Amino acid sequence: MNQILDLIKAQSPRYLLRILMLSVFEVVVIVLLFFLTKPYFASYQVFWYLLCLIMVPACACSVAVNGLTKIASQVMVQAKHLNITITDTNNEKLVTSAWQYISWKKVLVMVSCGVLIALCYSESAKSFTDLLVLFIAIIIATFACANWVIINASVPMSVAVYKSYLVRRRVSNDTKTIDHCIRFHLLPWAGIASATLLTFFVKYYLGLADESGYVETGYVIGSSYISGVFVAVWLWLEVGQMARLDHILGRIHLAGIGHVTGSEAFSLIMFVPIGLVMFLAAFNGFFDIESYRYQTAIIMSVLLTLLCALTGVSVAILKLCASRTLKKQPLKEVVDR
Amino acid sequence: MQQEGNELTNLGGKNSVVFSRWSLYIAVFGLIGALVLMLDSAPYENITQDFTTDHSNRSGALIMPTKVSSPRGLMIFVHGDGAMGRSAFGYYYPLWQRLAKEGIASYSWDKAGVGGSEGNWLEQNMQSRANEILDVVIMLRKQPRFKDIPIGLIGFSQAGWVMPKALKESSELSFAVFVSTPINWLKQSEFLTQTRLKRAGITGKSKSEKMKHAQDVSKLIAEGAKYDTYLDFLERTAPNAVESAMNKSRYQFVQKNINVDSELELREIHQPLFVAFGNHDVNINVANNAAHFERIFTQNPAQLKLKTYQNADHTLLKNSEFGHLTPSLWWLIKVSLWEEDGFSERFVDDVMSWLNLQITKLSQHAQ
Repeated sequence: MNQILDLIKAQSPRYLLRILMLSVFEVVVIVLLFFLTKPYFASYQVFWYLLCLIMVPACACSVAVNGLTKIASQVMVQAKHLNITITDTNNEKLVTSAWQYISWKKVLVMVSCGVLIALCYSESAKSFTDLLVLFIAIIIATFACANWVIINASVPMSVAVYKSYLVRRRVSNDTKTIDHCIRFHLLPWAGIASATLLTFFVKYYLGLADESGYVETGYVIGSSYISGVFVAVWLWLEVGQMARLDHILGRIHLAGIGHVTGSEAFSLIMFVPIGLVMFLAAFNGFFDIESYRYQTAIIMSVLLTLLCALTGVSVAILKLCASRTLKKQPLKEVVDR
Repeated sequence: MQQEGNELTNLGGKNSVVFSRWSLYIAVFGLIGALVLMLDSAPYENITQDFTTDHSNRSGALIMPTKVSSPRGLMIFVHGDGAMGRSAFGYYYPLWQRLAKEGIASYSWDKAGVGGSEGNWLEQNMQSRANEILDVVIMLRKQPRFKDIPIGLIGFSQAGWVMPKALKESSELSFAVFVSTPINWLKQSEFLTQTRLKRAGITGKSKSEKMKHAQDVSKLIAEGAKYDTYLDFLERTAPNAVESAMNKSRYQFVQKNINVDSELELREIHQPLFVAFGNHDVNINVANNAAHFERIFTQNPAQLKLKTYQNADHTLLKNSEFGHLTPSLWWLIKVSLWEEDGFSERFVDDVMSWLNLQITKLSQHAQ
């Protein structure tokens, strides 16, 4: 009997519930964000199609990465507890980042799933009921795609993580850590966050431009700030959780970082978006810019979102590397947190 | 425990995908169910329905609303210039969809020689196109579901010379929507020449000369000159224009229709009209045509509802989004994606309100 496989199977009910709840949560949060934004239900058709194309792959990847990391972490803790050993401890090409199990082919399938939903919605009566069915379809598609990725990757990733744990050494220096963080945390999460927020900006600014022909800079600053904070907090929490595994495996290690408290990290997360929008406001004031075309407004807001994503990821990594608890507490407690 | 390690290196095969597959299957079936539910709510059914006109078959589409047991009215779509299929490259889809939601059926057909239709649209004149409409009305009225409901027309651009003829000749037609329709072919042609010269930056004496030349060409065509004579004339008077000269089929089509002017027919019709123009239309002289429509209906202003929409081009699509695009694959994709939102603000809503009003009036009158 293969004990590692049993450990992974034992995760099944919990991870299924987890990814289902995560799928519902992510989609519902985004949907509420859209519903509470102008111009309410009477928004552009193009927006709903864009939403399907972006939301399904973005949410599915996010949920899959979360689920895979959680499964691998739990398996690692329990395997350590049961003292399971592996003779083949060759750690070359050990793939321990969940992102590496999401191939372009899989993303293409997810996008196709989004296209299919968009096409069906396009053919529907587009009533309010259809809108609800659309979101249910997006939730199911998110769950199915994430589940598909997890089913295919949970075993190889869990094995790789456990092997990597058995041979772990503090090999990472600052440069390798930064490369790792950019490649496996900043780029994928910033991509997902900006793509998701792009759909929001398209809806919001198109609605405003439709009303008055342009978008006032005040609206751009306000919405950029709110979405910037949203993205920064989201990535801070998400990456903070995902990167713990990398830290335990020795993939992330930054030297010379003092202690960073939760409130300090939170203040930093709140301050950077304020600083960015103040800069934008000063820029607008200096050049007497009172309004933007909606395309310019979208570009500006997406750029600010990317910078806020960078902030969220950076703060999460800094906080993690500065954490004393990780160094002191036993493995089980650290991963279970 | 050591043996476990050896087995671990072989993982990733069948075992890796065995467990929890059931949840994936359930999710996939759930997704299919949701999509079928969405599709099932589509507001219309597209039924192929052909008719015969002048011994020639025309292939068309009857768009039946699915949300009502029987339609409240029926709109016949009349194409503008060019080789148009029944959906005008997807331009009609948003309108069909909205009409179906309002419980109104639609009918449109492939122009002669296009898609499944026989013949050649370039061999038609405006009267033969109007005859097609009359034949469609006869074909539809034979069906019990359309026996007693009001039938209207909605036409675009060149349809402005077709619809008045049909409206005048058939009392079965109850109302009509004219979208970016000119009244006089020669004046329309003159406006197009002016627009072309303006775009080319030609002004002053040179512009006057070119305008005079265009008038001479129109006169030549209207007098019935043969195609070779037309080419000879261009060769003599404007050798540079020979390359862009009309081909023989187009020339003959223009010659058949160059004298059309719908004013007289418009004066004689009794059906109410909704006339819509776009303020960014570069194909027709909106100000002149709008004033012309108002003059024609001075005696009976209630018969005419005329509106010029802002940020709208010749197709009544939003000029800011579609004005800079030439008909291309991207234009089609964009129209498909934007659907009803692609049209100028309020245009579709106004048309629907007006149609609903007409249908209600007719049903009250019938009672």
